Amino acid sequence: MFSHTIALPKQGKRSLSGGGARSLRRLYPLYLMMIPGLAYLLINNYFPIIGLVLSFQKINYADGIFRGAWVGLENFEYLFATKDAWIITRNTVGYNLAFIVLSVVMGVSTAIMLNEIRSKFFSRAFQTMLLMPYLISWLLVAFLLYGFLGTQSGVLNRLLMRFGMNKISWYNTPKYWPFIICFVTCWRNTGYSCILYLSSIVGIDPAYYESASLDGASKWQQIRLITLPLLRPTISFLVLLSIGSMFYSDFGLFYRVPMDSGILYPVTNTIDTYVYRALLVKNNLNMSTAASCYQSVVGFLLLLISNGIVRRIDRDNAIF
Amino acid sequence: MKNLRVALITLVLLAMCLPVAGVSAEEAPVEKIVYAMLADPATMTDVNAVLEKMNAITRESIGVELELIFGYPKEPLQTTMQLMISGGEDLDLMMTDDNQYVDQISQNMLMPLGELYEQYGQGILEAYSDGLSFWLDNLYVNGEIYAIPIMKDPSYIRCFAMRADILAETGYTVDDIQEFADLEKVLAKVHELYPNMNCLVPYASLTCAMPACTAAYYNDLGDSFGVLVDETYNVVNLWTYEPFVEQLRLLNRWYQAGYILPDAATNTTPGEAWVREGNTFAYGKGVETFDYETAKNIFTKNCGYEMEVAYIQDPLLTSYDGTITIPSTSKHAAAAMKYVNELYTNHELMTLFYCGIEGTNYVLDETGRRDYPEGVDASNNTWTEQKVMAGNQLLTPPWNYQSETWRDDVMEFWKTVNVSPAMGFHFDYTGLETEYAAVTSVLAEYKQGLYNGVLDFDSAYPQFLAAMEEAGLNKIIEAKQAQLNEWAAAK
Repeated sequence: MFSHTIALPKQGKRSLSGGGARSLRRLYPLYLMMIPGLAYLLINNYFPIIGLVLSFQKINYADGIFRGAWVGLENFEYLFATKDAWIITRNTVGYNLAFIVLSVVMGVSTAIMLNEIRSKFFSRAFQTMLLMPYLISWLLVAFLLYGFLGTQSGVLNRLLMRFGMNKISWYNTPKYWPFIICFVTCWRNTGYSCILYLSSIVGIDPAYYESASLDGASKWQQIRLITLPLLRPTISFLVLLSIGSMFYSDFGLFYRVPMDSGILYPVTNTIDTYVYRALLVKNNLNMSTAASCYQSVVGFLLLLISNGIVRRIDRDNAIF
Repeated sequence: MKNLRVALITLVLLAMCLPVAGVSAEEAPVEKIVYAMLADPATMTDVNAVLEKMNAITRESIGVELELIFGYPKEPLQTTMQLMISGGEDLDLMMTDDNQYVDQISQNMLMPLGELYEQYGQGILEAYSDGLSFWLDNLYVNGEIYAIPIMKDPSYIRCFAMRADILAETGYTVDDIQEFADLEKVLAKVHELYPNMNCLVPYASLTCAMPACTAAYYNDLGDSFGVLVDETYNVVNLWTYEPFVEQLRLLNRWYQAGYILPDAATNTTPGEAWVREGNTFAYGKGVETFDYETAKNIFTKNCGYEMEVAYIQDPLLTSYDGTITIPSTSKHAAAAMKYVNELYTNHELMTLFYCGIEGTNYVLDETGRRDYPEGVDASNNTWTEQKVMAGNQLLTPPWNYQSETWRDDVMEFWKTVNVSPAMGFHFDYTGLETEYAAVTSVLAEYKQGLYNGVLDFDSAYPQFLAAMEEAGLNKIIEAKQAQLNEWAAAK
């Protein structure tokens, strides 16, 4: 008896992997195309990291921008010393966690629903309509929302009056705003975030679904047992990336949409808006750099930690 | 042969250099200075034409040419200036706000000007002699002067503008309104007559409590964290000062009675727009002039209705409202000083700078006052005067809605106005930056609500006081008092 061994032709492994003159000659067009993007990345994202030293100095314009006196962690005090500091951190992290959860839930469900549409025309039409809000700047969104929430002439208040209830002064009542902000964010970002999930879903082999329906699986079972597990890499990738910007917030959203109403600060003040308001007049370069340093360094540490955790659980889904 | 060729080439090259040397020896070097100014570039489109005329004058007289950089609003301009200075770019003239003056000095951003004044600034010194020397004296910090004041029409004399026709219907007149509390009876009557109209709106993103405090000698010492309310050097907490607290209580009462715009805390529309639409009776604003007739004309022009003006605070000079400074990194400081001196003395140059080109941007009537030419108005004029322009703005012809004796009136005003005893005092926040950031944040949180009467006074006011105390307001007040005493003793 002999066993059939299929002799595979020897793979030319060296043709694609590793360095070496041969691969460079073959791939140099690709490297060339990378150069502008890499150059931009270097200049715009890596060079400015040097500026972080400003957060540990006190600036002296006559001596030059990097030659000021060293003051240690003094510039970071204002971010931790006061009661406000706890509020802004809580708001920033809290909203970001909510946004991550909402973005995954809404993005995935919208993508799944879009995928189910048979008519190509309607599928494209809905996707475009969902994407439109993302293209509107926050300033316009703020005024659009004002049309709804204005006390005297807003649509919502007029509806309330029609049903015999009292007008609500929306911009003066903090308790509604976590919901309003989450709602506005969902409205704006769902169209954008579902694109990535949709492209992953489209790539799933329809054979899985066919064999599942042959086996008698319901729609919901198909989603739960085929679509979601296959989407896991995408979801975990995006969630891990979002964790990296946990201490950042969308300035346009938190500054513009509440119309800069002081009464709402306890629920809408984030690190970015706090630094902007506190330093607007004095223009203190060192303190604002310190805030930036805090946001990026802590965010980066969080990213490393969560990536490490995901790696332990499921190696494939980690970013690096 | 090779040596001959080399020699010939060298000779030709040398010959080429000579004429150039000859030309440069004949021309006198003209220095170029860069001035970063707060102005909306969209309203200053004729900059090249105006600069050409100005440079033609200054090239002859002082050998300096000007280049202008516009920035608007204030924050982007400040960022631009900071970047220019720290990046080593040429910047020779800029404006410094009063509450940044001391900070910029301690950061070594400003050049000391004492010597430059002596050598090139005689015209400026002369403009401020004769009873106005305090303008320059109060700019000295640690024995050295770092800024040049701007001679201009006083700004922000606080007042209320109201619809004249409705005021007449209520039966009250402007003379009945002497203080903030007097407004109450007028607003009540207006509300009775016109229940659907707002009686009082804030101006854009400002507040209804205009002015912030009507004490006779109110000086907010730069930022209202610790203020003066009388002629002494006693620094007090503005928000425990009883007359002001009473004002806040009044505002809350008016809001609850429905006199004030419900969305006042988030209003971004200017008061004039509200009046034009017929949606409000009055709004509070600072206006540039102390002259009642001129103020009435300005308001009526802007609002489309006949307006009345009620002044509820005597003018008090507390700050410079911006001064011109030279960055410490400037390489043409002498030229810059010469230029500002020229703006203080040269009538023609200053008129060009401030008003634009005659015939294109303005025309003179028979009394020598300005008006817009045919087809031009405030919205499409290619050169607009800016209150922050360096120089002596009083050298220019007044507008036709200002009085003919405007120049003398303003000079008279400057000589006789009450001056706060703390004018010239600039508080140095070094060491208190954290507290400053904290109190600024607390004020930002409560200001629109309290100063417009939106927040319920009885519950919000104690919270506000407690938050301020926790943020370190008392530390700031103590430090301010100490610095003020020191400064006063050294005067």
